[in-house]
Amino acid sequence: MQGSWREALLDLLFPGSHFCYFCAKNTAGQKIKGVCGECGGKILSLERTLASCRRCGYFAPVSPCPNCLEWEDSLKRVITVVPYEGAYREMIQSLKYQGKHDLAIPLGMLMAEKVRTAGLVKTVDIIIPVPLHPLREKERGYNQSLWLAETIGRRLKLPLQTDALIRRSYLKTQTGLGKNERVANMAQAFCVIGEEKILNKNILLVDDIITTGATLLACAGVLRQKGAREINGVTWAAGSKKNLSEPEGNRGKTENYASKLR
Amino acid sequence: MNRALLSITCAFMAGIIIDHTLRWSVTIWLALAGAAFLVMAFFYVDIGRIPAGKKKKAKVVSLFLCAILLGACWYSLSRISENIYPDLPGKYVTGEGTIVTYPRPGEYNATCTVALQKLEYRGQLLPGLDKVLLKIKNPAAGKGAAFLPGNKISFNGLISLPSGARNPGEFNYREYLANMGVFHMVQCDQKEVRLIEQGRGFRIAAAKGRVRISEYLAKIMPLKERGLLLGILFGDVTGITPADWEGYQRAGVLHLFAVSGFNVAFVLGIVWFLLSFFQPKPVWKLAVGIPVLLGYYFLVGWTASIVRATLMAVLSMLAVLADRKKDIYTALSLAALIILLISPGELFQVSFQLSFIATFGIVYLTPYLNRRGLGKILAPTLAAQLATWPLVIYYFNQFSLIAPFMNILAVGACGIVTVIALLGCMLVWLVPLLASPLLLTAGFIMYLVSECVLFAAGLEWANLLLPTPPIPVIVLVYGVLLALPYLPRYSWLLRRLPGIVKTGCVTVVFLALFWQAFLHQGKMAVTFLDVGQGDSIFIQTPGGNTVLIDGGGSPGSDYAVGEKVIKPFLDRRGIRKIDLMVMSHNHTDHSEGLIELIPLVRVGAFVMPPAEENNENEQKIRQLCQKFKIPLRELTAGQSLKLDQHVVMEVLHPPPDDLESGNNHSLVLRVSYQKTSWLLTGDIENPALENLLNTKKDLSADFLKLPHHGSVSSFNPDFYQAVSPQAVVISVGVNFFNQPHPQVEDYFTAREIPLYNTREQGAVITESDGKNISLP
Repeated sequence: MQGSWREALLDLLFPGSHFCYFCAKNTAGQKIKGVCGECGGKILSLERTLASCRRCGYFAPVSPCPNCLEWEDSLKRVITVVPYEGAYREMIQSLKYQGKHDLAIPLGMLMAEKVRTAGLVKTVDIIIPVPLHPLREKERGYNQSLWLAETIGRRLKLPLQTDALIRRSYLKTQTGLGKNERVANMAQAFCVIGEEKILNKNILLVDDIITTGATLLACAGVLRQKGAREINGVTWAAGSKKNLSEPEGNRGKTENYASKLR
Repeated sequence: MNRALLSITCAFMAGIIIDHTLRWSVTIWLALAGAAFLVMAFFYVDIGRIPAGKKKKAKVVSLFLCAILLGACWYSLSRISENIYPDLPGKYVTGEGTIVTYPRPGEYNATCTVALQKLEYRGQLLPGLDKVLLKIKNPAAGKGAAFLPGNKISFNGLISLPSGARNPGEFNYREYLANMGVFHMVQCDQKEVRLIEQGRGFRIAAAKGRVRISEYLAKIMPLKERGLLLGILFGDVTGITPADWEGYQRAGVLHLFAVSGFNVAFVLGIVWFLLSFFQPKPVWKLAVGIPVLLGYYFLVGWTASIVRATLMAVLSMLAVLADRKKDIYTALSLAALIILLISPGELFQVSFQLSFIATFGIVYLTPYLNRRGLGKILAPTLAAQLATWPLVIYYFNQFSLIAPFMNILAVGACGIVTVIALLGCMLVWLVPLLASPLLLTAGFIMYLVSECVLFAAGLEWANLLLPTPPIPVIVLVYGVLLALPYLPRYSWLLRRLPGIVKTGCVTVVFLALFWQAFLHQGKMAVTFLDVGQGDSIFIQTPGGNTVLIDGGGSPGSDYAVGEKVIKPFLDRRGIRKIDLMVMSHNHTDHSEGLIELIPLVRVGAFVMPPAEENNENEQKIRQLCQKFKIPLRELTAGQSLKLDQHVVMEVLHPPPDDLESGNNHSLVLRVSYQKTSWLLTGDIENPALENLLNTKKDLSADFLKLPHHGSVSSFNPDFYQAVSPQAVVISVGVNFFNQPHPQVEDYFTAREIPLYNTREQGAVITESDGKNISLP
């Protein structure tokens, strides 16, 4: 009863906290904030209609997956939620580049749900967001992966570990680079400080997007080297080959209401 | 989105406005509100018979009704003690209480509000009054520190009512104070105020801090910069000269001296910057932020804008804490609701209205202006200007053309200055050595900005003087502003409308404005202004011609009646030209105001009685008329001037061979419009009245301005009979001459002829439609 009073008061003070970023419907009283049950259900069951790689989450219906064929073993599996296109792409971009913190909640929640259904909750010990270089973080003012990781941690009741892994090179971004260039770009980019924090831990890495997987692989590589046990990753979006997947019409349906509502 | 709080606040405000117009007693409102509450409770308690859809509607309607009636009840309650002691004014009272506002130094006295604990008259307790305004005469410079908010004092002095609006549209001090819950003033000498108990705690510490900062500033920088800094940091505007103040008003940057969201944001910004070294959680930010904001609030004192800004800041911190999306309209309405619950009269205070409307405007219009391509800097500034200009015109008759540009400069610079100066203020305690360079830099930037703003404000075209618009026009303008963002959506409607309809609409609007501005509904208005002890009569003919007869004046004082009373009165009406200025005679209480006014307005012609020798006032007028190329005529009995169609001004006195001077040399004028007439008698006394009666001229008039402020030296029943007025007016102020004399007053009261008196009721307005004279 007390909880409902508190919620009622908060709803009075902050109305409009509840709407679905995907269909703009009011979601008052629903469990996940920022996404209604219907849209959430649709998004979480995308994998049923959309073929994706079991290991790297790449949305391509071919086997073996051309993306993770040459991956090292350090990164066991990457869970992804949606293909990087259309409204999904705009959302992660407005989270990443415009700093819309609100979006971290529905996106993070959906990522957490996906992790839960993949059965990873019991094995994971700590969550580590992919760090930005401190200078970059200062420049941008925030780390979008951290935001997502915070939501996921809260949802799955898992601890966050933000100061074990740091990025030591202030590189140009991965955007616009080819696969091999990315890997080269990434090698030696991360390092671990305080090995005891990750020693023998099962780790869930959180990032916003996976394209070739170079970033996550680099993180996983250095973590494994310093003694982490099992490393999995979760990202919001994964790259896709449009011509290989379902027709555009089926997925592009969700419009970006987040930007319209402002 | 369902913004329940916004709707409830609006309903509450509506209730306050309703009671402000109706002024019913608390009992009625309480009964109504109680009934509404019962009805609401009936719907909220589950009773299965009403269908769900209808029940929801009934719930909502009853809730609103309840909010409206509570608002009315609350406002009525806030003014309940206004008239409980009608005989109290003029008595000598003693009392005790806690000071609640920072003392405001004026020319002759400092004022501060005191929350009463006890008020006595001759040992008899007077319960029920919450607050009084204490006017402390000649407070010694150093002793200001004793009168700080939080201190408990005792006082004895003369209790009186604050002055109301004396002339139409004038600032109503009594109403202003009443809306803050203050209904009486107590005037006392500095010796009659004693400190009983030093305040303790947070509040007095903040107050002492403020004194310390201003003393520190006084040591290191000149008055002008100090005044500006204190104005920006604490909203303390006592250090700003009236001339500069007017300049800032012309430039539209006065809002910078109302401590608001801007300052609160910087205070929080600095605190959080310092906190960021510890990487605190949101809870800690809130835990540190709230006391800091509270401290800043105590530094500034109760103003609508800081309370609003503080509440909104706290709410947005809470939003972060509760992981909710903040809704700025809800935050705004919550702030308004809290302020109105504490002090419902705030709704009618200019500062409350401007603060809320500006914030609302910025939130509501900025996205729209942004879409129009105005950019990130210009859009919010312009949004605030757009939202406030109708109110600014309504209250100040000013429309600043340079405001948007000046504000970009001033707001930007003040942002930097606020940060530097706030840091400086903190350092005053920690490392005084480092404080002075920071504060001096801030002061210097402020000085530069102020010079720029004042230069721009000095330009002729910097602002427009506009007449006070009627309230429906203001409501209409706000309607248009609210609809502005939605106009593009309905532009198809505009395109479909046939041209003739559009032309018709525009024509009707223009005709209506034209009608309002120039035609005056065919009425002639003669206004006997309240200029204290003196005369000033303003005539507006049905055709819009303007005549000013005398301009008041205060002998032996430097109070400028013409500038402070008559010019603002003309401004509010949008009058910039006086077609005919009349000086009835050369005494200062009639002519001084005219001398001040001639350079300030355009004058068509100046008339006066035949000149006297070596009169200082007349010489000044002669020089001014020469300088401004105003034709100057001397009038004598028998002449008459046509002021307008059907409006004639006849001169009845003095005769061309008049030997009198001064009062008895006054012009006596009869102004007639069709069948109605006014007789304006200047200051003539019995000798001149006898002369006038001896000429056997027709003296009859409907409305008589009694000669010489109702003096006994002009008491003349024969004259009154010859005029046989339907009503009379005495233009008089506080004086030592026993004017108006009871003998004069008794004559008219005995005959049941209505007698009006500018000292009692402020300006007396008479209007004529050509057949009857009426007092609206």
